[in-house]
Order: sequence, then structure tokens, then C-alpha cells
Amino acid sequence: MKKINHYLICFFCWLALVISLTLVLGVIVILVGKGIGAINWNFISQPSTNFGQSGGILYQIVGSLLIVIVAFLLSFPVAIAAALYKSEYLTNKKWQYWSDMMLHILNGIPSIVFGVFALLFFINICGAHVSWWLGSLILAIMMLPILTFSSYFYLQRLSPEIRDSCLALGLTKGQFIRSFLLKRSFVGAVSGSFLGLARILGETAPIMWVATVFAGGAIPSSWSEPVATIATHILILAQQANDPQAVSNGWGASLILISLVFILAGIGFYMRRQQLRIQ
Amino acid sequence: MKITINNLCLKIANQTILKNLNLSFQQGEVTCIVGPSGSGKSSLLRTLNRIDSNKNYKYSGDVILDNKSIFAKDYSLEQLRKQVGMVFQKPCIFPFSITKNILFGAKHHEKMTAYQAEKLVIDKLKQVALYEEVRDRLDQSALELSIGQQQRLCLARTLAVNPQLLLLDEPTSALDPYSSGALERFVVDFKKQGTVVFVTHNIAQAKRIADHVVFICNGEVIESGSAEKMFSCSTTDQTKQYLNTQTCDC
Repeated sequence: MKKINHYLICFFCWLALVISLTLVLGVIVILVGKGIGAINWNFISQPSTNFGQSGGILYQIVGSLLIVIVAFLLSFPVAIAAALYKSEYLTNKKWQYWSDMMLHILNGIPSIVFGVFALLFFINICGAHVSWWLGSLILAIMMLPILTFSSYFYLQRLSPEIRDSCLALGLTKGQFIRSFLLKRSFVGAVSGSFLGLARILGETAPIMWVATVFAGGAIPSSWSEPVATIATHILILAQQANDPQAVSNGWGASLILISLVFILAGIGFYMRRQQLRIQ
Repeated sequence: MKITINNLCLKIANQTILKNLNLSFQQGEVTCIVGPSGSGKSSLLRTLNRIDSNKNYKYSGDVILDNKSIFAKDYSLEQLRKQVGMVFQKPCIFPFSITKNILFGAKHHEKMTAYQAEKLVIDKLKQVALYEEVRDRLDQSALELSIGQQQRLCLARTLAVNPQLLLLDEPTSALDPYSSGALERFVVDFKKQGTVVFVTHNIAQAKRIADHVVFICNGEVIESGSAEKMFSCSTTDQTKQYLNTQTCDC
């Protein structure tokens, strides 16, 4: 009976893995199958025209990368500092609990709420213009919990013996943080950034009212201009389902978007490996 | 360096760990602390190094190091830990190269040239009888060393900070005979320049290296004295029983 139970558990675990991988592979295969035909040098090097029915997605690629990279740069140091503070200085269990809870809540807020908040607070109340930096700011807030938790959990994995050994050598807490924890928190945040970047790169709702334009975008020449992004472009193309060229471009843009996710994740993995390398 | 413990009591989360300890460790001596598991030996060592970051630690009594209380508010913990080196039961290697492991603590205390750093690494590795085994791979990961080599590397890392008192918490419990022997030889050699407090369960080892023996049980010092006296004519039944059978009914 125990053997049957064991085989059943193994079978269901295997089935779950196969279903997960099949779904991911299925999405990739469909995207490649449908989108590869639309992709050529002109598609990624030309700006879109006629609401995306013709031309390429150059401005959308640049806009997406600009917003996401600046969001990452804004969020990264804050996440590392927050993780270090939570790990090393926040000793009160009640505060620990509340900080965890607040970060979980922040992580769980639907993206449309971020969009509404940004519109009401920054545009309506503060009088800011629709601009790419507002999008970066909102996306930075969105990815902050993922980066913070990732960095924090990496710090928590540090064995107490290492902490004791460091302190027993006469290091101050500040020296211990600088020489040991900072690097670990960096590694943790980098690995968390895979998830964070993957999440925000495809976001439309939080930025569509405050940072993007649906048509006519260009490469911004100042910080107060809006940009076009791939996600909002796909949204526009999806609304033109009766036009085969627009649909084809939509598949192509989706393939480019998922390729960017893979490239960013690849860079993140490479950075993580570099950081973990023995020096 | 002389360290004196006066009426030391330690409570952790309201549980009494050490009861009214009175001891002194003399310069140039190896003191072995023996006793059953959970008797408070490691807690005593951690107290001497003040690795007591847990806020539940509550002390009474005093520990005097060179005429000054280590619990005094103006006593620098970093200075204390620099003077009082500690090696733990399980080797704890940092995920760096062998060289970086040895220099990790020392570089935080004093600036040194590349030549001085290299000399320090070689000197300390020789002191713990590890140099010949690792001389060709000083820049490789220390994690690739065997457990015995890792423990000797931990000792070399501690020595690089130049402590005057060494606290060794069962450092040979997981080591092969060769590494244990090397560590014992080092301990006997080190007492020429400093003081050693060595926690061990191995009575034969205590006989080989100790000048002074302390028997602790249930957080209390049952008996202490010179190694010769303790091993030949200890006065309490508990000590006799423990030294002969390594069990006790305390």
C-alpha cells in the first residue's frame, strides 16, 4: 500500500511538472509559430505607422526598455537597503510581522490600482505631465516587494555560524554588513529581479494613463515626455482583430516582448553567476 | 593575558545555563573544559567572546580581562574579540579563496601591503600545519578543502587577527586523527605566546594537552585544578566518574 501511495505521489508530481512545462512550451511554440513571420529587420528597426498596421516597433522597444531599466535602477538600491534593514536592524518581531505584511500587500495590489493611483495622485493632484519617468516610478514600486523579499531571503539563508565567525574575528556590524551581507543582498536582489523584470515588462495597466501614448510615440528627448511600450502596442493591435496584418504584427510584438524577458533574465543569471564566483 | 571569572551566572530566556562560576585562566596555560553535553561549556566560551547577540542573554557576575570587565559599557566588543579569538565546533569557511579567508579578519583591523598579506597567509598556514597541503591552491575556493583542512584554516584565520587568548570549542570533534594531531601540536605550541581554553569531550586529548582542567556539569563548576591533580586524584565522585566513564549523575 505504501509503495502504491509512493508511486501515486510521484505520478502526480510528474504530471504537475509536465503540465507546467507543456503550458510554457505551448505558449512559446505558438508565439514563435505565429510571430516569427512578422519579424524582420524592418520590424525592429522602423517606427510603427498607421496604428501599428504597418511599420515596426522600434519606439515601443526603446520605450519599454527605458521604462523598465529605470524602474529597476530605482527599485534595486531601495530593495537592498530595505532587506538589510529588515535582516539586521529590525529585531522587534511585531515590526517584522508588519513589514512582511505590508510588503505582501504591496505585492498583491492589482496593477490597475497602481495605474489609477498614479493618475489621481501624480497627474490630477500633483499636476505632473504624462511622462516615462512616472511609469518607471510606478513600476519600481511594483517590483520593490519582489526584489526586497528575494534579497531578504537570501540574507536569511546565511548560516548563523558565518555571522558568529565574522563577529568573532572582531568585525563591527557595519564591517560585517559591508564585507559580507551587502554582496549577498545584491545577489539576492539580482535573482529577484528576474521575476520583477518579467512582471513589469508586460505591464500595461499601471502605465497606460501616466506614461505611455497609444500612437505617435517617439524616442523621448526629455524626462517629461511619454513613450510607447510594447505591451500597450499589443493592446492596440489586439483591438484590430479584423486586420490580418495588425494581428500578425501583434504576434510579432508578443514574440519580441517574451524574447526581451528571456534576454533580461539571461543577463540577470549571468550577473548572479559572476557575483557567486569565488574571488 | 589573564582572564578571571567572578560569580558568573547566565540565563537564556529565563533558563539558567551557568551558575555562579568562579574560574581563572592563566597566561601560558592550556585549560581544558570537560563535561557532558549541554552542561554549559560552549555558552561559557561564547560569553568570554561576547558572541551573545541574542537579547535573551542575561548575565550577572563579572569577567575580568586584564583588570577590566568585559561587560563594561565602554568596553569595545570588537577589541575584545580581536584579543580573544574563537574557533567553533563546526568549521565555518567563507565562500572565498584560501587566501581571502585568512585575510578576512586581519584586513579589517590593519592595512597591509601585498607582501605583508602574503607573508601573513604563509606564516599562519605554516603555524597550523596546512601550508604544505595547500601551497599550490591558495587562490582556489576554500570550500574544496576537507573538513580537517577547513578547521585548520578557520584556526589560521583566527590567528591572523593575532589574538592573545584562544577559545576552541570542540575543534577536533569532526576531524581525522592527522588533523586532530596537528591541531593538538599547535595548541601546545601556542601557549608559549598566549592562553588557550579548549572545550573537549575527549579525555585522552585533555590528558595530552591540558595544564589545567575544569569539569563543568549542569552549568556549575564541579571541580577544577591542575591536569596532574585532576587526572590522578580528583576529589569529587562526579569528576572521577566522568573522567573514567564520560558519564555523570550530576
